[in-house]
Parts: sequence; structure tokens; C-alpha cells
Amino acid sequence: MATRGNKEIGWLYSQLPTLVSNGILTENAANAIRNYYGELPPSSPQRALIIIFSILGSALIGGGIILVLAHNWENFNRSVRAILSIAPLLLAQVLAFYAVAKRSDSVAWKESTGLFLSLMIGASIALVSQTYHLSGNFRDFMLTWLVLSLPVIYLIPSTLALLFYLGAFQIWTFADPNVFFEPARHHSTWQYWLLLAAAIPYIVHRFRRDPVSWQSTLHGYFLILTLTITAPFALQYGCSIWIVFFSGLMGTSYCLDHLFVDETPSIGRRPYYLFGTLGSYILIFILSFRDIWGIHEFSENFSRNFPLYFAEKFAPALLLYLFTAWMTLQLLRRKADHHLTLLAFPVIAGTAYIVGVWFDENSFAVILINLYGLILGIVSTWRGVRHQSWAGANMGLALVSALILARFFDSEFGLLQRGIVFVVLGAGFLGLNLLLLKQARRAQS
Amino acid sequence: MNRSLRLVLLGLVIVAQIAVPVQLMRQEETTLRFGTRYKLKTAPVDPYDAFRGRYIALTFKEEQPFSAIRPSGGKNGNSVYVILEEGDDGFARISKLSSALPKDGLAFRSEYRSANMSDFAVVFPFRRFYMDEENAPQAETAYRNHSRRDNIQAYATIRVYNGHASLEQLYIEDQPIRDFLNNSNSRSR
Repeated sequence: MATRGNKEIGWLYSQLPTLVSNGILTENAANAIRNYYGELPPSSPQRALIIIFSILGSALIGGGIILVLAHNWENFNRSVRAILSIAPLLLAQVLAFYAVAKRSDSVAWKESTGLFLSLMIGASIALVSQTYHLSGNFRDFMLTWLVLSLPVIYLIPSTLALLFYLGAFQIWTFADPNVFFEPARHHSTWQYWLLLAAAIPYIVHRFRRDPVSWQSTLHGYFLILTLTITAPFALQYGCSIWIVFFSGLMGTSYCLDHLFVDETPSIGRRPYYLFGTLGSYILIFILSFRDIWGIHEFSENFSRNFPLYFAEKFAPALLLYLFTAWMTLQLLRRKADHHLTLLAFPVIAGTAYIVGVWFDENSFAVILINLYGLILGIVSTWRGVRHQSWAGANMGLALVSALILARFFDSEFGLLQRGIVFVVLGAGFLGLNLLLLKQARRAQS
Repeated sequence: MNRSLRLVLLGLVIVAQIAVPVQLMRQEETTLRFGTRYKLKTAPVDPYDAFRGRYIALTFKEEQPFSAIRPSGGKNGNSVYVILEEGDDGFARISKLSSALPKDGLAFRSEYRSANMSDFAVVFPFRRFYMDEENAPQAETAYRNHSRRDNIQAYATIRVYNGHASLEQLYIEDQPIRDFLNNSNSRSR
């Protein structure tokens, strides 16, 4: 897609009605132009405020309607209550339909009606349940809500509907007590992956169209948050397969950012970059502890629950891992070798995992990760100093220090030795930052 | 996706979204109108457990462990059809548990639980009675006081139709709970 300035597109859009009425463009051609460039992102603070307040307004109205009706008006008979239960949903549907038919160029209309409709679907079912004293199962209710609100994301289309969906998805995941206590009865992992996968195409579509729009940024943060919170539970009792899954996820995130984000916006607008780098550093530190690697349960659990285990826990991790490999190759084709140090993480974690499972022994994995973390930390500190990147240099040194400190407390060293290590690391940080400061001054003068 | 296709799909989705609550209402209304009526005694409750937010958590005497004939394939957590019969005192008792719906449709699904080696229990699907938020605390007290072990004067009526059961009303001292609350309010004034 052509790089475009929003100002120019704004001007073009303002001209379209005149062009159509003068017979220069057909209505279809004008629509085709609108479809090609997509909706106009908020260009001015006023526009952004309108969007924010319309979203806030619809959220408040939606919540308010739920509360007012939850009062449970016992004095009304059942037919009045039936109308009360359905009316808000109908209203939301009419508004959503109108937004798609007549206001498809207004972000405010689409976002607010998308959120409002998503809320009212659940409200309507909940109110009917209350009128007829239905006890129902909360998890089934959430599932119905999720399935019915999924198309809203795509058809309006609406970012807020997506964020709502991901939030409701988290609630659904944890609504099953078996998630925590009875893995043997926890049979719905396939539903977890299916519901999650259903939201991905929309996120991908928006990301490819404009990776630094506010929508894509929000999608990124919410998706990462959702996965970080829920995936460990979907993958649990999968013999530490989460290690492979999350190392792949961070690798994918890192590649996504470097492959598609061409302009360099502020770092807060790059959720995938943050997750890919910071997430990897944190995970490397966590994996440097021996107790994290629960590989020894593997042979026992895997053979006992073979097809189920493979389909629900190993297949998702494997697929993601293969995708990461493919993305990494794409990135390396661009001759960007400096990415290799961090992108080696999924490979290292995967190797450590396979070797650990094969020999039924954690030591190799732990040593490998510690060594890799140390090298990664040193390389990124060195690179940070060379390119005057304060964040890179300090993050690298932080990783090295964290690894050294953790190993130090693992083993039995006296206070004297510990004290010396603290002083050395502290001096390292001070020295590094002084060095960076000196370089920065030299570059200025 | 062009706009007309989008609108057609949205129309279909809207129909599906409306269909869910409407279908729920239809099933409940049919059962309440055409269903066979049964009276079920409530069980003694733990007084601090009965009230949850805006509904009364009901438990029934008939749900408690009993030595019924175990239906084939009865496993903990499975669902089973409960068939009721009316006793001499006018209250319903479980006459049979079955894995298939009887021809007359006079049964409803419940969760099956084995209590110990020989006894079995069921969990009825109607265990919440929703109240107005102002009445709820009073209702809770009333239900609690009338569901003690020595003093059970609370019961619920249900309707059963075509394999489905709906909760109709909760009675205390033979009055619908709302009337009972109104009467006891006017008495205390």
C-alpha cells in the first residue's frame, strides 16, 4: 500500500462528495477509494477526544443499563421484563447496523457501537436468566457471549469490540475451576485455542495495514497481556512445554516488529518490540533457575495422555515455533545479522528442552541458558556502548548482573564474597553509565 | 469486504444474537405454561451460605444422598434424567433416575454425583431464586429461618415439560415469598 499522509487523504475524502455529485466519479468508485485508503486516523486532538468520549459514553451507558435492569424489577410481569431484556440489545443492533451502513468512515461511531453491542449481548442473556431463575453454568454463559460477540469485531469492524472479546476471553479461561485443580477433567483446551485463533486474523489485518496506528498498538498490548495471563494455564501439565511456546512467542513478536514497523515511532507504540526484547530478558532470567525446568514429568505424562496432550499442548507450541523459524528466516534475509543474538533465544530454549527431554536431565538446559544469557548480556552491553544506546547497554548489564546474583545466592558463599560481588556489579553499572555519558558529550562537541 | 456483504452478514449475526435470549424465554415460557407442577421441599441450609448477592441459593431435600437404583453409565459429574412422583403429603419425590428421556417428557436433566459407595446424589438445575435488590436481604432471613432442620416450612414449585424444568415460585408458610414478605412487613408495623 502506498505511503500516505493523513492530511492528503483527509483532503481527498472532503472532495469525494463534490466529485460524485458533479459526475466525475461514480458512487462505487468513491467507495472503492475509501476502502483502499481505509478510515482516517484521528488527525487532531478534537477528533481523538470525540473518539475517546464516544467510547467512554457507550461503555457507561452499557454498564448503566445492565445495572438498572439488574435491579430485577419484580413488580413488572414477565412479558414487560421480556421486552426490557431484549430492547437494549435491539437498540444496540440498530445502532451498529446504522454505523456500518451510513457511518462507516467514522471511527467514533464504529468503536462505540461495537463496544455497546458486545456489552448488550451478554446483558440480554443475563437478564433473561434472572427473570426465569436460570442457574446455568457461568462458563457456558461466557462462551455463548464470546461466540456471539466475535463477529462484531469483524463486521463493524471495531477495536473496542476486540478488546472486550479478549477481556471476556480471559474471564472465560479462569471461570473453569478445573483449570486450576483438576487437569484430568480439564478438557476444553481445544476451545481455548480455537477462541484465541478466531481473534487473530483481525489483529493481523490491522497490523499489516498500519502497524503503528493506535488500534494496532492497543491490539498488541491486549494480545500480549491475554496470552501471558492465560496461556500458562492452557499449557500447564504439558511438561513445561510453555518454555518452548513463550520463547517462540517472544521471537515472533521481535520479528513482527522488525519486519513491519518501518517508521520508528516512540517505543511505547511498539508493544511487540517491548515484549520481544524485555520479555526475552525476563524469561531468560527465569529459566536460569533449575527448578523451573519440570522436564522429568515428560515421559510419564506424555505417553499416558498421548493424543490429547499432543493436540492441545504440543501442537500449538510446535506451530508457533515453526512460524517463529519462518519469520526469523525472513528477517535474516534482510542481512540484519545483529538480530541474531536475541533471535537465538527460541533456538537455545528449544534445544535445551529437547535435550532435557531426551536425556531426562535438567542440567544441560540450565547451563546452556545461563551461558547464553551471559553472552547476550555482554554483547548487548557492548553494542549499547558502541551505538550509544543507554537502554540497550543497561539492559544488557542488568541481565548479566541478575544472572550472577542469582547464581551467587544459589550456592553457598560467605558474606564477604557476596559483598565483593555487589560492589563489583555496582561499579560496573556506574562505570558503564559514565562511559556512555562521556561518549555522548564527545559526540556533541 | 464490500458494504452490502458486510451488512448482510451483520444482519445474520443480529438474528443469531437475538435468537439466543428469545429461545431461552420461549423454552421457559412453554415449560411454565404447559408443564406439570411439582412441589419440592427445600433442604436445611447453612444459614451463611444461602444468600449470594441478589439471589437465594436453594438446595432441595430430594437432592441429598439416597440409595436409588444407579442408572447405567452413571458417573460422577454426568447428567442424568430425574423422574419425580407425587407423595401422599403432596410433595414430590424422586422415583427414578434414567439415562434416557421418558416418552411423556416428565423428567429433567440433573448432575449426578456419587456420595459414597452405595449412596448417590443429584444436583438440580434450578438452584437460584432471584430477588429485587431491596427485598433480597429480608428474603434471605425468612428463607433461613424457615429452612432449619426442625422447622422446614419452605418449598418451591417447579414445572416440568418435555425434558426441561423451570423454577416457578418459592413459598414460605404456604405463601409466595413476596406475599410472605409483604405480610410480615405489615404485621411488624
